[in-house]
Amino acid sequence: MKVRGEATYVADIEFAGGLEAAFVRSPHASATFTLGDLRGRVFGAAQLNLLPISIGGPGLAATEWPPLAVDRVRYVGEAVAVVLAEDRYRAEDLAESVAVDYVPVETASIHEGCPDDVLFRGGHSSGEVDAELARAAHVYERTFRTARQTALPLENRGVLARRSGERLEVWTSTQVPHLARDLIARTLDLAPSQVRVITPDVGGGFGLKAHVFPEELVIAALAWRLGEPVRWLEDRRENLLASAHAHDEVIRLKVGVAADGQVRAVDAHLTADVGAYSIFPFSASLEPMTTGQTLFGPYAVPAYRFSALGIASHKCPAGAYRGVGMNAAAYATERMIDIIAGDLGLDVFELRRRNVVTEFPSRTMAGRELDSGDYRRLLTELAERAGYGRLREEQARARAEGRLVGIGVGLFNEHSGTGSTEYRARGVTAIPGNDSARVRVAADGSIDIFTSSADAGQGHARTYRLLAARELGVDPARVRVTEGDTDSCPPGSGTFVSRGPVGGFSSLVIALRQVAERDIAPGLEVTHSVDPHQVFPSGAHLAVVEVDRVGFVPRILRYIAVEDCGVVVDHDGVAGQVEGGICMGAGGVLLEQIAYGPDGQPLTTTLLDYLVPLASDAPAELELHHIESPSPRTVLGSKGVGEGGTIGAFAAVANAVADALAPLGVTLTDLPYAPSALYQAVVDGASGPLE
Amino acid sequence: MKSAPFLYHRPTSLGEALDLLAEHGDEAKVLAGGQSLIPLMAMRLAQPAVLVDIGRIPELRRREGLTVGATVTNAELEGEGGGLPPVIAAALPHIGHFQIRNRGTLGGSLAHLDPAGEWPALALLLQVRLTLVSRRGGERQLAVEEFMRGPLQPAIEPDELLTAITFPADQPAGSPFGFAEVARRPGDFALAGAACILRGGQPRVVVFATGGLPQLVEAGRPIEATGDLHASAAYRRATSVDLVARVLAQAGAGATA
Amino acid sequence: MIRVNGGDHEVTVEPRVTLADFLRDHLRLTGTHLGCEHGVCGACTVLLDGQAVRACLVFAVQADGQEVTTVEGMALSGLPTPLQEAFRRHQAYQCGFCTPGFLATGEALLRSGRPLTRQNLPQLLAGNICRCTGYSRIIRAILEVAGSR
Repeated sequence: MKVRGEATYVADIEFAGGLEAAFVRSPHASATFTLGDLRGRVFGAAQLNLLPISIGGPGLAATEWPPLAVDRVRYVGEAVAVVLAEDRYRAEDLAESVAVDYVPVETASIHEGCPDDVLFRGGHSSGEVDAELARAAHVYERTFRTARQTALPLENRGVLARRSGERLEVWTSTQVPHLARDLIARTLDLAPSQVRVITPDVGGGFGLKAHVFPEELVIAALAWRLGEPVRWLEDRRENLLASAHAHDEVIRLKVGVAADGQVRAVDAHLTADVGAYSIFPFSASLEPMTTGQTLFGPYAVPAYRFSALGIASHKCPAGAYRGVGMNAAAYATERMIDIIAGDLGLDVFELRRRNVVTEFPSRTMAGRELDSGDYRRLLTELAERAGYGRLREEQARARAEGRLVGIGVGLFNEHSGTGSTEYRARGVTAIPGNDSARVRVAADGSIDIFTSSADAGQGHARTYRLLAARELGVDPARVRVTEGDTDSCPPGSGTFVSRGPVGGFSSLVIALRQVAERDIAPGLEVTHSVDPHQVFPSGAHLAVVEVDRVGFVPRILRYIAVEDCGVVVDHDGVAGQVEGGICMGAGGVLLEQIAYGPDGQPLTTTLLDYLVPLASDAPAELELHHIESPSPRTVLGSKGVGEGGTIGAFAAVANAVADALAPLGVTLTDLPYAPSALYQAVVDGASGPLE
Repeated sequence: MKSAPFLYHRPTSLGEALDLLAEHGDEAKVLAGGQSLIPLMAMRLAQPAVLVDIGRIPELRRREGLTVGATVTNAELEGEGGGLPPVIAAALPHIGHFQIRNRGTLGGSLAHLDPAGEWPALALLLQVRLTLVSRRGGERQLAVEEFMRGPLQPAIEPDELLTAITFPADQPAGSPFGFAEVARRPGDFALAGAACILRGGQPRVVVFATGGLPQLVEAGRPIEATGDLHASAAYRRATSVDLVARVLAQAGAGATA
Repeated sequence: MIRVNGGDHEVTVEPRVTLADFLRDHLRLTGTHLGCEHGVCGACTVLLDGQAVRACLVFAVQADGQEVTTVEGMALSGLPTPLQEAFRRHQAYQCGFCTPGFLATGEALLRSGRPLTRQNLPQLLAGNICRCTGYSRIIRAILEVAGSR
């Protein structure tokens, strides 16, 4: 029980007598290196001789990521060697003593065979973009930037591996147990059945743990080769330097608008800094391609074109973090909508109402199949619940007193539950795309549920028990839930892209119904797998923000969200996801930023420098409301909900800060909206025109 | 993030502590509350060979009137700071989080001398006197201006211990003051800060967290500031100027109240 | 000699071992979590002689002769504390990694006798990070217990 300290995370598993690992990490952003004579329990790439993680596919440069660097390092924090000792104190002593001879290099390209450092190149075009832009009454061009950020689960990564005979058991804090099993098996040249991956309690993932990392492969290899238990518990410094970053993107938009405010065409150029390696399993396409597919998602735009680039740099590889790609899309889209509304003298709700998609199902110009939704109702509901008219009056009074108070709206839709078809279409081959559930009736009539998902703290078990109780009429207390054990759970994709309420629920409910049809007979076992299609949750958020005139620190005074994640199964669970997401998204706008110096040296190596939201940063008042547009593509009509809060907050909080400063002649485009940056924008705004 | 090994001593008297410092000198580091030192050791940015833990020395935990022992914690001063200049009570809640204040000490904050810290600013504002003791040199008293040689550079010899801080008598309860700082989140190091008292009817104002050591604000002397990851120099200068106005107003209000 | 959750322990440790590592590795009290090891995240917060402190910023030897209460020792005679009950009722945790630290902080605040309100509590909780982030429920749970005293 978590309130009694009885949860078991990787670090809590009994490990007496095992070997603790520490990595020797590069202090250079770009260098060649040689390891001296390695004595004792010190291992470099040559000793372990592991297959690299290979990434390739449509639009992707074929690149390799060696689990331990071979001859060359490409970012500060890259592991060049690993050491083992009886405890972490001694492991760090030993790691510190390893002599590495670095020779800094500035070469033309980061990866051989990729001279322009472009790891991913993609795009899409529909409709007559150039003609529409030429015809448009107004054309707006703006460049938006999102900050480099990292998911920062409170529990760092951790891996414990133990060999028993011809099998290897790996406990790892992951969202993707089956993907981890398969990659570990491939790297060690074992059959997947020889590897058992177990995820104990996971102290938060938020996308970070949806990757399979070099460290997991190295620890598994050491345990396999040495025959001794080996454990690595990442520390926070490693986590900030060398796990995965995200969200670092430049979004250049050109938008053609008719005189009545109808958006006629969008031309977008997206450039993401994906760091030194193309990450597994999502690849360098993740951030820019997702943004390209999501921009202007809730709006009916007749012509749309985007180009997306993933550019390598001497930084930590970029991957997933709650709302990846979609945060940037909602941020840029909704800032642009407000800029247009301001220019045309239209209310921000009115301009959105005029442009939203109203037909469902429908296909967006980015090629996405929207399943259901009611965006006008989201807006109407939001304006009513927030008392929008009254808020504007209060704002006018506050402004008259000289206070910087802003109101921001964010409308978004997002994809959840991506299946194999969509992954193959964008060239991602490493993710199976399916979700599976197994239901077993024990001799005493109690129920066991096994799924391919892996709880990272969302509370899956509670929701599954609710579903089992509903479908089978059993007491939830007589339902046991097992996730994250590749021996007992059916294979599937894991936990990410808010896929639980999509393929996850559907596979479980179908299995439960088959069990019910067969009278819940003791001994019965049913396994069902679903290969889902994306479904599209949506939401409309409103934030009220005040920026102090002294010091320009923004504070969120009020926050109202109207969410539509289809049919809700677990109201408490959904509320927790949305509230948590909003708070995280607010941090994404106001606080979080990974910074590097021009020499590739990381500047944010502690939690005094990488700032995440605290209790005092959460909105002083937060209200959640729901509408339900059932999805025709899931068994229960449910949709994903893990990321919507974050996506909505990226738009609403940003627009609120921008609105607060609008009277000072400021247009904000670059995240985060930190005090010093706001001050500079105000100074620049006062001294001359922007853009 | 585990400290490198070190030898640990926990003297129970001032004399014993001074003997240890005389013996180990440069090799030794003094451990008071540890709230600044232990993180540096965890990151192995500090690797002292010897640690002299002064947490159990009764002489350093005493308070006699306006003279406060170096290892009195911030939480203790928050709880019973009566008689000390009232600006201190306003500043204390800004020092880290309350869990940090439970361990962090007055002497430790001054000996660490972080330029963004509140204590160095208060020390300069109030012109405290610092008592330093060593086996070699005996006891000496330093004015705060002599003590603060530079950021993170107090005038403490390697064999010397900061034992007590003496506050001025001209700021009894009810004296007007002002204190304000801007931080991105509660408990973070300030992006800029200012504090003010009235001395002989005249305001004495200090700004801090502008990059270097705290500065006395004087007519005709511009506020010096440097930029870093969290704020630019221009921001710090402009915000300091605003905060000076704010603390002057507070002190004025205090005077009339 | 150190008293932990009511039991006395005499253990020899290296001086560099933090109180957090001592509790976890030597006493196997794994409810105290390591989130940052530099005193910012609050996951390792425990009560030391009744005061909330970061167990990563105390060397175990410094706590010699003192009394430590961890999340495992909060329950009285096996029953959850009112605060633990309130956390459970309000679902004031998701992944649960921050929970022991918030419980220690909350317990210290409740015992301090200072008035706790919707206005001051968020600032007082700023020394603990919940990344999931369920601050509003944590605040509700603590206020409920404060209100019932």
